[in-house]
Amino acid sequence: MSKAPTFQQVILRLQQFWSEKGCIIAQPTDVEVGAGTLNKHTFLRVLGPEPWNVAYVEPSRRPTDGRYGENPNRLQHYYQFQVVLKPAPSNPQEQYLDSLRAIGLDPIEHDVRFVEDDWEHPGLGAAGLGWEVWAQGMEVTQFTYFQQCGGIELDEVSCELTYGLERLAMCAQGVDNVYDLVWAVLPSGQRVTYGDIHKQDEREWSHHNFTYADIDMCSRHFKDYQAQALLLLKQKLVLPAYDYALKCSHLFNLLDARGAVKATDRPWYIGQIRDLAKQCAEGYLESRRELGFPMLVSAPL
Amino acid sequence: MNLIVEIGCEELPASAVQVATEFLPKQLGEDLQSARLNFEAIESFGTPRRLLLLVLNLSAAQQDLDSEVLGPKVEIAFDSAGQLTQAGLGFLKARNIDPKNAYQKTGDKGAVLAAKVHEKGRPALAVLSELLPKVILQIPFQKTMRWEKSKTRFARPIRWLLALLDKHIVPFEIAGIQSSNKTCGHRFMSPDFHTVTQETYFDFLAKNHVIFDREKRKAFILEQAHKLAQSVGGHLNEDPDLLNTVANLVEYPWPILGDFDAEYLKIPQEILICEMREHQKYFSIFDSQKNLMPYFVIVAGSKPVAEKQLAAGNARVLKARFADGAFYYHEDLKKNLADFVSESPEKLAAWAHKLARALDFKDTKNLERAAYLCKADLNTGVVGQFPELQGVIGSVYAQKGHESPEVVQAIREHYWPKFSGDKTPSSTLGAILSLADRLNTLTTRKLPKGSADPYGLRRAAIGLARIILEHDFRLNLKELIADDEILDFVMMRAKGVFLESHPVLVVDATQSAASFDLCAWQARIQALEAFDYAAVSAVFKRVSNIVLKDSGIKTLAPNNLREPSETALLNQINAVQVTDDYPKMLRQLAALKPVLDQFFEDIMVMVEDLELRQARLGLLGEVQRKASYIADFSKLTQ
Repeated sequence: MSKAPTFQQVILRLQQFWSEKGCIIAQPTDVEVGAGTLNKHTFLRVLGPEPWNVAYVEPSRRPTDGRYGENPNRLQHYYQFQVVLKPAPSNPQEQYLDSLRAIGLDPIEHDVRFVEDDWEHPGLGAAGLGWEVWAQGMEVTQFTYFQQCGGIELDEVSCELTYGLERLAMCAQGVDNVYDLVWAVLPSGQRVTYGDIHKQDEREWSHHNFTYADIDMCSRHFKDYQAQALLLLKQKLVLPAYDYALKCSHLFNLLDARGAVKATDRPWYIGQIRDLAKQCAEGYLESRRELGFPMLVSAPL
Repeated sequence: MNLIVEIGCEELPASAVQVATEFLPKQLGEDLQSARLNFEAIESFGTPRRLLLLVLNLSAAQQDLDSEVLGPKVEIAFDSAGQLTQAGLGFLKARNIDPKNAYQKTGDKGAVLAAKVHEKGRPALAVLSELLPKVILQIPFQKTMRWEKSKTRFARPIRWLLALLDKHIVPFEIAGIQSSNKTCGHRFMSPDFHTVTQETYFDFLAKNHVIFDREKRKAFILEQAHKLAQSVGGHLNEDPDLLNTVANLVEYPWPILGDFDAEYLKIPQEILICEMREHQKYFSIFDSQKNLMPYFVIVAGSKPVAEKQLAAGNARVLKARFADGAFYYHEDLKKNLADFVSESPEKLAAWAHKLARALDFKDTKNLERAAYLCKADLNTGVVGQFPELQGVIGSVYAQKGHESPEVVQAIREHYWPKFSGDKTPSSTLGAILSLADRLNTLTTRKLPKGSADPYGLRRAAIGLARIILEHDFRLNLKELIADDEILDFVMMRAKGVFLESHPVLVVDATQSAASFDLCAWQARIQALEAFDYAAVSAVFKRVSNIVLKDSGIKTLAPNNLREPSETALLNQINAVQVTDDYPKMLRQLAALKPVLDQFFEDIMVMVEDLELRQARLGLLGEVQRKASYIADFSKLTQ
């Protein structure tokens, strides 16, 4: 077996691979999100007819998944590698498998399988059909043909690949515990692990998420950000409005982790967020239409 | 001619393969028949990556069709000289019929223009190229998707189409894919496309690691998995649902053995088995005492290059899963089961009490406790992660909390039966709790309309009936369920339970006001079924016809009955004892037959003399009353 890639090499190789396939290498959003799908590079760009091929790393926060740094692979902050291919090509599975080979994962050796999983995010009015991809019994990627986003049936079907970078690297490096992942080997020969970089975060943030995040403050800010988003939407300032919608979504997740969302309130919160997401999606589509869908360039003859 | 069709797809969900392989042969069979194409057999198979459709000995062309078309009335189609008018000619021209073949015909609608049409059968190849895409796109998948410009919908993207009618490619196109004579083997082991013929096709699949028949994949998995379990001195936890799932995930299954740290066996084995089964799709292994062993069977999707490494990789994932299960388990153990009771389940407790009174069940102390605790585990971390462990985890925690063995067992059993054919609770306490839970659900949730049944009310009612019958609980459902609509709903399901193993005539005939006691209903069904009712039902039907025709009140007036046949019947019917010993009562009723036959031969019931008529009707009314204690015999004759 060839030498296993470090965590940062996995990222570098995936970026290299997808840039060669014609993807723009974009950057993460600077608002807390639960997944790369929420980045506007996916959520808004899959709308409308404009072609869009992009790849980026997305640091993702899921407050309820905090385990104080004590679970071998549950994290409240982790990294996704997100790829959007719009329109979906005719061989996305083959391209994806090649990307695994590019980071040294042989599909037979790792028993790669496509296991039915229809992805749905009711809070975003987003849904698609596809699979979770397994390698050695571990879910390493969510592979989705996007059908609907922000409640809008999509003109062009996009293919969305969401790699779980930690899981992928654990598989490639053959380690049991996420904190033992080798993030980098420095020229001096020093090995820097995932634990060196993130273990303290996980412990402190778990305490924050489960005990110290202020419930009143979160509820208050939810309403503040929602009002701001609605005001911005009225002004047709869709992109700033969308950032505020994301902040609402994260606050809801925090309240949930604090156990502060009653079963009876849950539908209300989800409904409010879905409504914002829907208005942002509609507003964005409208604004692109007004601009004449500028990225819709016809191929040269 | 033979037809081979292969629809190549990106990995299809198991349910989609199921739907497609049931639908395709049925629909294509019907369509071929209506297209006048005969065939000997039609079959369908599926893997996650391909759907196969095979037709054997298909005729090469449609049969010719001779038919007659009818046109406008003769007055319109012909002139006075008997020549075709413009209208008549127009009709024929529109249908491409030579005027020479036209004639007049008199039928129901008077005389009209008619013509014989001879339609030459088209070659099967041409018919199939129209039929196949139509049938393929009609498959009623539960969920479909779009993936390319034409916006065609299918369960997953179609990537290739093979269609061979003997040596010929049946030409058609779906979603930009043109049918061909090419196919490929296993995704990783034989990915290249090759040209095949009907002679080489099945051989090609076999050599290129595709087992196209699900039953063969299942048999192979089971055989290998048993061997692996035996190799560590254990027994495979055979799990038909899991077997179906894994057999539908891959084209070339390859079971391998993995192991985990025995330290994890300290966690309740239900949690471990659930982790393996639900999340990882691994088979678990038991020792001879049904204790979990620290081994499992993975079904890989191809023959592994390095089996040990693959097993180790899977074990790593399992370890993390177990660690997570252990986290929730240890968090839960910081509290007692009672601490998880969010609000006192008062309605459930009220139902339990009501049932205990009706059944004269004495152990109310345990019943109360079990009713109080049985839903508490829904708030635990473990059930939050593994909803299917509801009841099981509750009983594990109850035991740890030193609840009585009866309570522990009742908590575990109160969801039984969970599905059709599942066992019912073994303890009386568990059975009563399960009934209470079901009655509570049935009376608080809205009854389902159509096929959707989000609260599983149909299943609840069926389970209710099964528990009552298997535990021989003498309950009057009408006294328990006040709402008529809900009562009807439950009785319909109970009837369904009987219909699974008894003829519809008998079930219908024995349903009466007394059926609300399901055990009595069942006893009448069984007694009647064991009895030769055909011999007596006609005469009882005659009785009931006469009795029902007269709307008056029937009273027995013995003093007005004087004829020998009347008094004979009177004596005999008076001797019939109304009893819950249904076989005995049936024998007595059967003995009435000769007497009744004699009565009908000698006596006219509907005589002018009002008093006499009333007396005779009264006598038959009494026969009817006693007979109907068992069944409505009039329903037993077709």
